[in-house]
Amino acid sequence: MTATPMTPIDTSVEDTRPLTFRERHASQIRQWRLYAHMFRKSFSSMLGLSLVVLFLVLAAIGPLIVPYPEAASGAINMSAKLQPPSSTYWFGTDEMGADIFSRVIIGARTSLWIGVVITGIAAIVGITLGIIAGYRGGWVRAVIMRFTELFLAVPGLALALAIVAALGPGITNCVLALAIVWWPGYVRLVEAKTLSIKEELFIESARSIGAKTPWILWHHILPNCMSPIIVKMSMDMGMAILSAASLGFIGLGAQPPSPEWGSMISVARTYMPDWWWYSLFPGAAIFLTVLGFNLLGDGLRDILDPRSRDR
Amino acid sequence: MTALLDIKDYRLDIGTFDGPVHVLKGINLTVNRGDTLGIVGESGSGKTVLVRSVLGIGPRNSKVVEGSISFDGQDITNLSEKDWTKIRGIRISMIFQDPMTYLNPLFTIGRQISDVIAAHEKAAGAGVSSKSARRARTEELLDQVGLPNPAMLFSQYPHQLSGGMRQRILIAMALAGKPDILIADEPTTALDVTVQAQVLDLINSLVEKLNLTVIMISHDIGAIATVAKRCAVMYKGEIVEQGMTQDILNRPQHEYTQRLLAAVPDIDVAPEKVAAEVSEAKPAKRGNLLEAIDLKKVYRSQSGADFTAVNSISLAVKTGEIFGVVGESGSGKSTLARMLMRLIEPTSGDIIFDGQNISGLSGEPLRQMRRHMQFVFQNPHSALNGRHTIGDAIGEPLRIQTNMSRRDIEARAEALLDIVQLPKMFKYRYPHELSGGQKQRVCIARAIALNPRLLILDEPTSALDISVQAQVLDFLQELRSELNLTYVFISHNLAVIRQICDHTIVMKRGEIVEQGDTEQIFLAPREEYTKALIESGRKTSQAANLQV
Repeated sequence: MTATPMTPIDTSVEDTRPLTFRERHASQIRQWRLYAHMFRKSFSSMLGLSLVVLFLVLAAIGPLIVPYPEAASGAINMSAKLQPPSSTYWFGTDEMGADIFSRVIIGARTSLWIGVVITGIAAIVGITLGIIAGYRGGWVRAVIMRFTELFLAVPGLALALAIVAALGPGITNCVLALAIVWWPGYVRLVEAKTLSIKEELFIESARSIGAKTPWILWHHILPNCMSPIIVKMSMDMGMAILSAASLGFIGLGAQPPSPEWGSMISVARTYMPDWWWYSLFPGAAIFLTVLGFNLLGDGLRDILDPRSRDR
Repeated sequence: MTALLDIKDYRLDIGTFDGPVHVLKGINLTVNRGDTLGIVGESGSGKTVLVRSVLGIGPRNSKVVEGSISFDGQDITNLSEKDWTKIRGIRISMIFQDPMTYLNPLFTIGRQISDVIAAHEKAAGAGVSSKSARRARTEELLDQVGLPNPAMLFSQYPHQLSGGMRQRILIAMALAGKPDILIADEPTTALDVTVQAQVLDLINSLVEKLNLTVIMISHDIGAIATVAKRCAVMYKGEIVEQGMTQDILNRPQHEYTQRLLAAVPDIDVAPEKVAAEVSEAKPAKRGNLLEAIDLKKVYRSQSGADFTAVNSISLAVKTGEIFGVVGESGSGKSTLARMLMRLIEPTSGDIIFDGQNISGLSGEPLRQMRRHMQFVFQNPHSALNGRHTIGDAIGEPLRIQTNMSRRDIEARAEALLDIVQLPKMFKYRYPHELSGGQKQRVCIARAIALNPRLLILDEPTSALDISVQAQVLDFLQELRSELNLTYVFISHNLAVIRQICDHTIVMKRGEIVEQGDTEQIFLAPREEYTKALIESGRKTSQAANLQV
């Protein structure tokens, strides 16, 4: 009896005129409005969303709006080196006289690219393996899961470090290495979800009408796994950006003068604390981006998790 | 004397995203000391919300718009959480629908009941009595609810007990605080027929022994009639009728009550079957459509012990008949049905469908075979994928098994919705927006999409309300004559079986105990087990209670 009181469907309407788009998609529209309503109620979710949107906008149009676009490509202007924040240089300048504000804004695009590629590769590999392991069971599952656990047992960043060290420093290798250590989390998540979904009656029902395994995986299991995957991906975006910045910080990621936040802090480290603005602003950019993605992920989890959806 | 419980003009709204839903609309109800009141109504009628409000555990986001509830002269409409602890479980207590989930699996029965006693003592302000005193009281309670050997039960865990025993333990727990009112929310719904009768008997005897006041909720008017002297009928958040149970059963006033009573299948009435027409129509082809020979399913548990779920069952289903399978839960009926469909692999034995042995099929031939036999599941709520629209769900078998174009599939899905008497616009809806009966119709539409010859129906109505059950049963019979179908109909409800089946087998612990013509089984059961089953079915049947 705790069942959701639903809007009753008007069964009396039965005329022959073709339905409008609004009528055909009334269910989806209601669902999305409900999501929006719940999302708007939470301050932290909205804060997360605004930060992420701001980040995406900067990544899209950043190079067009910054005052000194040449700062990103290593232009040297020694007359203006290490200036404190002022109206000309909002975030100050670095040891080469490049505008830090411009470099931070342009760095958003690099960070977005890093985040998307790492989580994308990890999700595709992880979901595929996880869904197969969960659905097939038996020795297939045993092999996949033991292999996954092998990866999980090694600290991710340490493993990535070793891989980058082997491949040679650089942003592409750094992304590649992080993607390689990132997928096991998705396998775990998807496998557990698949295990519970495959016992559902509608899976048996699909089998009884003669559905093949790929059909069941694609049409029944995957759509029902999506909510936790979306939540995890949005949180991982932040974590991937942070990890790439960490690799950049120890000099294995993007190489100066490319405007990557982690490597900027890496150089700025030696100028602490007298030239504090040099490391503060890239650090703040990392902080706000990671915070934004995490808050967004939290908010998404709250609206997508049926247990927290009491209406 | 004032009434023990007095509900006056009570209105309750639940706030949802779509605006407030009026769940209770002006309820007036009085219960005197020593009364037994039954509340009947279908799911969604607000009966559970009503009694939960009496106990102060109403749904979240709910708001009392108007009216009040007073208990023993005290207004309890807006009581603080602290004051509630002096009433809940002590003066008013409740037993719930599903005994399986309301006991904590990690603690012994004795521990759980003793804790309840201790909590009550604490709430009453007196000190908590000693462990041995509580143990004595627990055993006394267990004895009171008719459980054998309380001393041994004390140290057992919930999983060691059957559903009926667990329900008795919940009743014992509810009685621990010596309550004035006992509220029973569908206490028998999750139980087998024979156990249902026992639990109802127990409630009756407790009422007599302890002079309890009982409020029992059920959608099963038969169960209400066994226990309650007075009865209220709820429909869409209103009490449409109340009075003495016998009067309501014999002379229902409200149109809804009349409909409800007419829908209850009667175990003692032989139905006018449409069988005559069937035998006339095609006497030439009365061969066996489906045969099972010596079918067996053995499960091996992790400890290595074998458990035989289905043991050497042979049966023959004739073309065009409705073949009934009856048995209590755990008798292996669902396993049997799934084996016939090859959804579970039989350990040994053969299944012959239309002259072809299908027990060895695999891969493509098995997929082709699935066109001809379809399955309708017990629970329509979980048999549909919540992320697919109804149109997708009905079109799915066509997309999998045929090369029809998308447009043709759309058209066929609309035609199928028409056949199952649902509006075409349902195509765009999602399962959670439909009621149980509508969902079951969608499941049936999905099952007949490929024009199968055999439908296996696994308790197709047990998750539905009685009035809806009647509709679905009627509809199934109509459909059969229209589409020339053969049914294997599985149920634990004997009245339903008698109403529609031509031939019936009775199953117990994986074996057939009796088989034959349905009428013959009901009129002259040969086996003790069948007799017992029919007898307990009769007890909760409406007809028996009318004669009280």
